[in-house]
Amino acid sequence: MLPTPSTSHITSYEPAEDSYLLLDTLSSASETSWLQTHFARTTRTPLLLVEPGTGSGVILAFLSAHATTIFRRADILSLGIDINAHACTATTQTVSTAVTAHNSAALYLGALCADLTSPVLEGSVDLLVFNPPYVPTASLPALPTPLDKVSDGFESESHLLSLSYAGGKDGMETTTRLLDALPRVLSERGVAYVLLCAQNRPEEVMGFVREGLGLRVQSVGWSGKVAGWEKLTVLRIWR
Amino acid sequence: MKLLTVNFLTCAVKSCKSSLSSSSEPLSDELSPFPLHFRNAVLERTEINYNPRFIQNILPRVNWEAMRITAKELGLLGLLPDNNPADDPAWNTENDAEADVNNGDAGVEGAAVAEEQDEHMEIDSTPQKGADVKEEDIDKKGKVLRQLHTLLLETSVSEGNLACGKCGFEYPIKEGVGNFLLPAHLV
Repeated sequence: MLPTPSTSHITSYEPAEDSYLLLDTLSSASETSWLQTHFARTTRTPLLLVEPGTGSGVILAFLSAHATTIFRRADILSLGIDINAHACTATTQTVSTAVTAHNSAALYLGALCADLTSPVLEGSVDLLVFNPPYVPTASLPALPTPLDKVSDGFESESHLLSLSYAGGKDGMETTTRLLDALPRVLSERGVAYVLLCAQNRPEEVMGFVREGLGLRVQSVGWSGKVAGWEKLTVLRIWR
Repeated sequence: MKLLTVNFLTCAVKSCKSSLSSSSEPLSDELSPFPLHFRNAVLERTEINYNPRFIQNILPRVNWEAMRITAKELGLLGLLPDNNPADDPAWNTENDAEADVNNGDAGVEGAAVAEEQDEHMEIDSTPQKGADVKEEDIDKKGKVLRQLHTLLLETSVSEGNLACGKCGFEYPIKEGVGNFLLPAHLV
């Protein structure tokens, strides 16, 4: 079992059950074996890892710090993205600390403040991980704009916090936008891991990925069975 | 953010991104949304352990033409060779001999080998009697890798702007974090 990166410096976006499910799935024997075959060492080009919505940064830190165990290759570049500038700062600290602690050669490029993958170059992402705001809510909080005053007030904090869980209709409004962007940003060998909850209707989402986006999809992680239904599901999506 | 990051970024404005995918030679004019152009950049250098094999492995991923533009704008062109060494067959043969660089078992071993190689380079950099042409080549290669290590891995931008060549929008960089949020009318 691989150690989880330290996030003791995080005060607001502490990692929760969903983050740990993604970590367990990505480091499971079946997934690491799949990833190692998929990103075989014979392919010379290093891998670009991108996580939109890093929050605390624990997932990106985990993948960067344990790159050689998970991918069986050390040539990893990692890039974090979050719509909240505070999360970007936290991510940089979490990833840098973990990479140093595990003496990993992975190169952390930095964190960007952006809406999902909006500034990412077409066809560049080899591995994308997304732990979305998946809770069904009556409405979606407004996205911040560059003109918003940076404030640490309670109102601003709770608005930013709501962006990290509120998913709008079926909890899918943000996830759908991310899925729509996958055909553009994924490289030829690109793979995405996306977490869903039961209310997101994972079966329907898988159908959309297959037929609507023309990508392959498989359910590869589960947790928290409630009344016969999996509470959380991790999908692997690839070309 | 590391200098290398701009190699993977484009303008976030939709019309700029779609112009990129329809154009076959995005870099041929200065009006392209890729690469973004640094304005008033404040550079920072963070020391990272020198691992020649790691930097060599990174090179196939670098869009050289775009990196040349970036390095030129920052006055760092002297650290970047005209062409990507990864495209040079002579470099690749040697690379193949070290193909197990990515072996997952060799995290620590890999670092040890890298140090060893590093020592050789130190020795090689002082001319020795009977040093043949090949050693000179290794010396030259070591110097190039050192410079690329400095430019691609150690150099980051802490403050400044990234401007799109097509629409002119400027994305601010503050405390090393690039802000790519757009005003509502551009989303």
